[in-house]
Amino acid sequence: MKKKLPNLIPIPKSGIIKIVRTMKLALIIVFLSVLQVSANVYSQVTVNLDVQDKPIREVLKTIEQQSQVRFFYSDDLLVMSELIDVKADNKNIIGVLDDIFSKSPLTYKAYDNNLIVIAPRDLLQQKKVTGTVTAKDGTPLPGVNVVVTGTTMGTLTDAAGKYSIEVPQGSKSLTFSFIGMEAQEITIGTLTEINVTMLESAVGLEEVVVVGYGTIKKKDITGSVASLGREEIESRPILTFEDALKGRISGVQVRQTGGDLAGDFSISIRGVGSVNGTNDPLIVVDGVPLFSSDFSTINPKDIQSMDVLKDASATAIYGARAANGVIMITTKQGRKGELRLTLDVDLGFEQISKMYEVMSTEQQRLLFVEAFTNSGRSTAVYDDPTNPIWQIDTDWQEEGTQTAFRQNYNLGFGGGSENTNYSGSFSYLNREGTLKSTDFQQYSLRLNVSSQFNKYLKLSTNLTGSHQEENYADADSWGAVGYRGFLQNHSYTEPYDENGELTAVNTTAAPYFGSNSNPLIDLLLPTKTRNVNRILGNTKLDVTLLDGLVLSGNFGGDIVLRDGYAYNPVYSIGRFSRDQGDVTVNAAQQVNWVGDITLDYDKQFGAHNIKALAGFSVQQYKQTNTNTSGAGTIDNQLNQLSNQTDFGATGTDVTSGLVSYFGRAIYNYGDKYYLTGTVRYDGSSRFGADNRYGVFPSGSVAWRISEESFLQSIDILDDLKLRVGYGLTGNQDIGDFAFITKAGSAQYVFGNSVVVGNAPENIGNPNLKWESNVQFGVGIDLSLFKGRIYSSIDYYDKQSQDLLISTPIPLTAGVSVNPIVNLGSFQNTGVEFALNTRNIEGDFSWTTSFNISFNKNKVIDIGTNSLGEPLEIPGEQIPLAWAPANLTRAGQEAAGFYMYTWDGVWQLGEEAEAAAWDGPAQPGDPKYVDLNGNGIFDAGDKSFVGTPQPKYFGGMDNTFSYKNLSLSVFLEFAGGYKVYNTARNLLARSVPFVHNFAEVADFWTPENPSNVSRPSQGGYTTSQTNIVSTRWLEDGSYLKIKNIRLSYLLPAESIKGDFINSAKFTLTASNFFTFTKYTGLDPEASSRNDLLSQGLDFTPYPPTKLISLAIQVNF
Amino acid sequence: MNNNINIEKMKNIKYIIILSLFLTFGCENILEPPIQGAVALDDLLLTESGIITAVNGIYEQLLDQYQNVIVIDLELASDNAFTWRAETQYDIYNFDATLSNFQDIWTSHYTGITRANTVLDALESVEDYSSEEMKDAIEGQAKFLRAFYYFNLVRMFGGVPIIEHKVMGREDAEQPRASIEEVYVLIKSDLDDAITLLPTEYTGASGMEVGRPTTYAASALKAMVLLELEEWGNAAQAADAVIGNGALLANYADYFNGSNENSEGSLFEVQYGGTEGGTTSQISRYIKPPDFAGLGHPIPTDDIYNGGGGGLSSGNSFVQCFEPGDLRKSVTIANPDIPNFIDPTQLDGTMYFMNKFWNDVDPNLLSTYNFTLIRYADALLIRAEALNEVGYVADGEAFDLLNETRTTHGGLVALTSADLADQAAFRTAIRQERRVEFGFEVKRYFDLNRWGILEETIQAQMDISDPTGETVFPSENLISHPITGKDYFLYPVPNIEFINNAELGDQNPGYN
Repeated sequence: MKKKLPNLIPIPKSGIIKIVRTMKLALIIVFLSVLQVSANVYSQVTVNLDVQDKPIREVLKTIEQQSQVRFFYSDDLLVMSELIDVKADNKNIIGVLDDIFSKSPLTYKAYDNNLIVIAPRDLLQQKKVTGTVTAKDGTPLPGVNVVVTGTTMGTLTDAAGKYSIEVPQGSKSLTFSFIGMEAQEITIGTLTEINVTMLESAVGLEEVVVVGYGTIKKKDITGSVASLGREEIESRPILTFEDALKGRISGVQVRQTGGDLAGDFSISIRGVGSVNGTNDPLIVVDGVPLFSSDFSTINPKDIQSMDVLKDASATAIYGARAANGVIMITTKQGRKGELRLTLDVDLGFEQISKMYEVMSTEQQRLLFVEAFTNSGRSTAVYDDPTNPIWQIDTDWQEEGTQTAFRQNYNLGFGGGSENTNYSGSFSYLNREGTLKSTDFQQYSLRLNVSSQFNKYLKLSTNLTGSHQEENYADADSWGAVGYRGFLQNHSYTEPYDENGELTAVNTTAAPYFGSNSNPLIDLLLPTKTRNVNRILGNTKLDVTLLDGLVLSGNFGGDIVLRDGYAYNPVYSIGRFSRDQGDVTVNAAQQVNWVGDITLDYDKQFGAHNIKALAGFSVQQYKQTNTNTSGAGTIDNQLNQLSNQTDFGATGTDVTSGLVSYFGRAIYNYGDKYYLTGTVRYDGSSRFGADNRYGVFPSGSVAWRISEESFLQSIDILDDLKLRVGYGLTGNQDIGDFAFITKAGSAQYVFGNSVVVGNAPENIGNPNLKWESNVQFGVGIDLSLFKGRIYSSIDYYDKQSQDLLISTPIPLTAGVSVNPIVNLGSFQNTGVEFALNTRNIEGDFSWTTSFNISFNKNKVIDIGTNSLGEPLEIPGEQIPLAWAPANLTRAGQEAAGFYMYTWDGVWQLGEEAEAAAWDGPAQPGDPKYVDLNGNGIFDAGDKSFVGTPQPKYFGGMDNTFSYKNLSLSVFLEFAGGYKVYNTARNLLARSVPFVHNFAEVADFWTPENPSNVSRPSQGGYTTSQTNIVSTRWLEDGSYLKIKNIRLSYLLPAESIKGDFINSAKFTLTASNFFTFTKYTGLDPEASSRNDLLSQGLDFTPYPPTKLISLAIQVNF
Repeated sequence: MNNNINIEKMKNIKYIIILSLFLTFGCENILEPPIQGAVALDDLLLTESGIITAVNGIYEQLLDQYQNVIVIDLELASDNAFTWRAETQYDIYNFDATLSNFQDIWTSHYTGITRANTVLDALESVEDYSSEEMKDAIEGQAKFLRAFYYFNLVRMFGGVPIIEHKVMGREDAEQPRASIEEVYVLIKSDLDDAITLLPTEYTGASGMEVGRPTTYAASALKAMVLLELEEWGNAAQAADAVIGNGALLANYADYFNGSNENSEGSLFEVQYGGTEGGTTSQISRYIKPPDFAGLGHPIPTDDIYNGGGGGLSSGNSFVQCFEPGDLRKSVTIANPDIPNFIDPTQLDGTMYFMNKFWNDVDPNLLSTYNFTLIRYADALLIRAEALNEVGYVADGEAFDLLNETRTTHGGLVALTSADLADQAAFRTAIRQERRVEFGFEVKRYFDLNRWGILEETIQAQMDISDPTGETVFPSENLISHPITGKDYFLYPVPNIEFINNAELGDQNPGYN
């Protein structure tokens, strides 16, 4: 921050002229212009003069001798030598000066501290310019620097975005600047009011990007780093900031993995490569690397910026944890100025964005009749359509869901004095679930303070605390829990009896065959709550040792406390009952602390710019978990652990740590040629003594071609930069103590008492080492037309090596865990493209940002089995079929879909072929392609039929603004991948045991030769429909209109009084339109995070569409 | 930049280096955090108390096997029970090498062997044995259990890989199949050692709790092994070492109802206890009738359907094999007064279910009743059978031994040479006696196999339930036992082993 101008100009008692010589007069005047001009001071000052033909200079000297007044003028002023006559007898000095200069081209100005400046008339004439600075959407921008161009004279806008500045005559223009915004130079001319709309700096070449242990100007970056500013983060009604990232940054894929209201996402940067380790990026919040990628507790409104470090040259500073990329999160910092308050109120309604179409009761009845007929069972009860039972048609999806109200209040504040800035917030979120009996609340609090004590010392502290409370429902799974329960239970039972109580059938006799429970019982009766408390923060001390050399100490911590309580009550409803209640209570604690010491050197020697960093870091994670369950109560009031009679408990306590040294050197010559080298030396407790340390180096070069003289003549080109990088990073997330053979518990009994037993749990591998990741990347950044077009394109080739693969050993080894060895390698190659344009500027403006990423994943080697055959690692088994849908095999993508190919059903006339192919097969039965052409149905008919990983994904945001109105439309897409719809595998196979999807109504009969397999209940036909095949594998490609946002800023003139500075209203519609062929609830619904079992939709907590109104008021 | 500043800078760097070094040394413990809740196995095996826990771990595999898999599958495979459920594979011998239960049995037994090997390899690492007896007992138990596990394996799968030391990596586990003879060499040697090493009784002190096998248990197991190998004289002799060092219980039910565990009538039991699922037995869940929320896996064979509705291998047999008045019948099987769900045309109470070990006291069917593996009765009947094979002696010692269980447990009259006139008649009687005495104690299948009569017995059952003759015993899976020369049925080695162990060798005949 700039010092107050007056302090910079010491007012000398004498010798003014000497000073004046060394300065441009105009500049001095500019400095002085902020001083108070006063006439009062001089009213008492009188002079006695009687001179003739003396130069003005001499006359003034005489006046100085008679009074305290000092004159201030430039020697260059020839007029000062002009000879004049003056006669004054105890005359007021002002009058005398008026006389002297009345006919002169010079004039004077008298200031408070007995200083009078003499200067050419036009220079000393000042005028006041006022105005308001707003963001593109009309929000006032406080803290914007307003400077008279070419000077350091300036001011800041206030909380309402208003400023007022005295501009010396002759000043040509004002420059407005703000971090993250394009600086603007506005010609003053005759204007006295200048209102400015700041535009985001598309190029942002001067913008600083947070990289590990420091910041770098964007133009100086040699690696692949993408940033998301506050604007973009705030522009969407987000619950978590994974959501904010989604579709915004090339190369970063965010997928909802289902689960709950708190949001459950997976983030992968540039593909995935680790089989047994994590594929999550490292998250660093204000310099604190988090223990896990779970950062759902952080209030999105607190985020200043997110910077994604994608390639090895950028991430290597985090060494052993950087293989999956790094996301740097910076929370908001205060800025100098008076207290500014921002109140955000978001109110909205959510609804399930899609429901499944299930059979009507009548359709299901007909399915029963056909299936039972085909399977030789009695259809008696099902034959009579007039039975009152068939008149019931309960829509369980409707019964179990609700329109949910969502409210979010956020109060942000910030400000600062000369040396200390502060910023903070308080936020409350209350979100009802769209599943009944679920809801979510979060309270969060933040305070960031930084203080510059003197030239040498700066201390800053960031602290965030949050508390979450959630009432949750069962997670997604195959069976009748979670949303599945609404689909799978038959529609011909009533949810409630005449008294409004939950009801259920009390017999399994026909027609209540199969799934006839009331899914509301499991949804509404149990109590399931969980809480998360988190404190995350750091304190950093910067000591400036010498110019350009800063020693920093940073200490940070992240404490996450989780607890949960679940009670399954005693009940008896129809044939469903629970005789005993049970309680489960769990608690988990994660304590993560980090201490860093860094020495940072930043200096320019002519055209040589050097930036160097050396550091040392220690980090420790401590994680404890306990889980206690008890059962036995028969009274629902007695729902605590102490009321139970049978208990079980588990607990763990794991500590791990890292000790690291790191260094980075960035050199550039003339902002043209760049060289970056990074190295980190990590020691980790996760490895045995022999492999404890790893070295992770990286290097990159960049060439700003646009700075070359031969391109200087091209006006439209702002920046053209070529980047090339290569480096090694690691993945240490392999679980703790995998290198030793552990004694596992193997309890036995003597005399009816349990005795401690132990047994080898694994075969320890003392040679385990880091997974490593070798990455080559090349990229081009281009900026044209003063940043109106900004584009960047990257290519990468990422080889994950020494992957930890669990290699199967014979069962004769006698341990349950296969040994883990470093042998696998995966490759991810890809292209990323980002384009930001300001298509139209002016009153009506239109900006576009677009990004798309292509990634190809390939398994190069995952080892061999004992026979020397390439290993194949199957994914999770799909229930019912008891076969996996995914298979990982060298030469293919990880977790490729490997299964039979559906070929419709056998039709009439194909009896002989069907029988030859598979004995009992007959018309109407499922038919699978005989890929190996051997005429029979066997395992050789399976093949790779698609990948669960999108071949491409991206997003596009268009924003249109006209005066106070702004409309933004955000599209998000992904394509070239498949999703295995397990819901259809269970509910669309023409087996009436469960309620079927509506699509089954077209089932095969001799009269209706469709391709929906013929109904059956048990036997060959049923087991053939269970098979994992392409019948249930669907194209997941989608295009979503993720978000449509309309904002209106109240015109300034309509705001009365000083209290409110601005108010903005935003109406948002999210997730209203999805274009996809996928028939499930959400094509992104991959229920599993495991690399080897991707793309399986187990019907997670349903995605919602949201309509919300946000009001933002600045005070 | 002037010199002063440079010096100042040097000073600062010195401090930083000192600080870094200090931090590094201060941080060593960060890289070697203590393991909580788990220990490195090698550290555990340095003390007597530690190695005792490793010995206890060897037994643990018995808990799982004898509440479900091995009991259910081998009783179904014998002529004692059939099933109405999906597990018909074992019942009608229609299975392949991928069936998970074989894998389960194989894995569990090798897990036990690995644990025994771990203890045996660590015997000399322990620095603080409290007594030589304790060390001997530890070694004796490990060898006894290793022999026990190998004996089950060799009887089910034939020659299996011999692993005698702890597995340090993939190579150690990839061993070829040994011959049946080689496996028996190891079993006998281990049992001979165990007989010498194990105490005659346990004090009850820690590590010496009652329920661990005594030298008599080892002798009885050896007698079982020798009987299997038809070394009649040796078997009789080994059994004789036990006889007189125990006694039959007056009440047959007391072996199985938790009231008299590890009694003088019992030599080795799977010890169930505690309150949790891991250490208790859920066998009742598998044997209870479906009407009582059980699974009713094995259902005693019964001729009430006359082959018409009982199930695939049901036939004349187990329910009828009890002589009238045999007190053991109502202990072994029961017919609760519930509808006959297999054949609703029959009267209520016509379905028999397994009753031995049934314990529904706990609402979650967590039973603490021990499962009997070797009883005093084994020694009696082994010696009786062996003596008869050595030579029939009218009303000789073999008669006394046979009659001891008949009269004491069954409440039946003693048999004499008038009833059993020759060796063959006595043989039939001893086979009958073994069947009723040891019903559902996982002995019948092994007996039928060692007698070489498995095929004829099972085929007879199949013929009753499937008069079309399409259900056929897979005689291609029989071998000629290399020691006894009898037809001997072998289960398939789990298929996955041939993929994960290139050294393994050939699958058992008839499974490819």
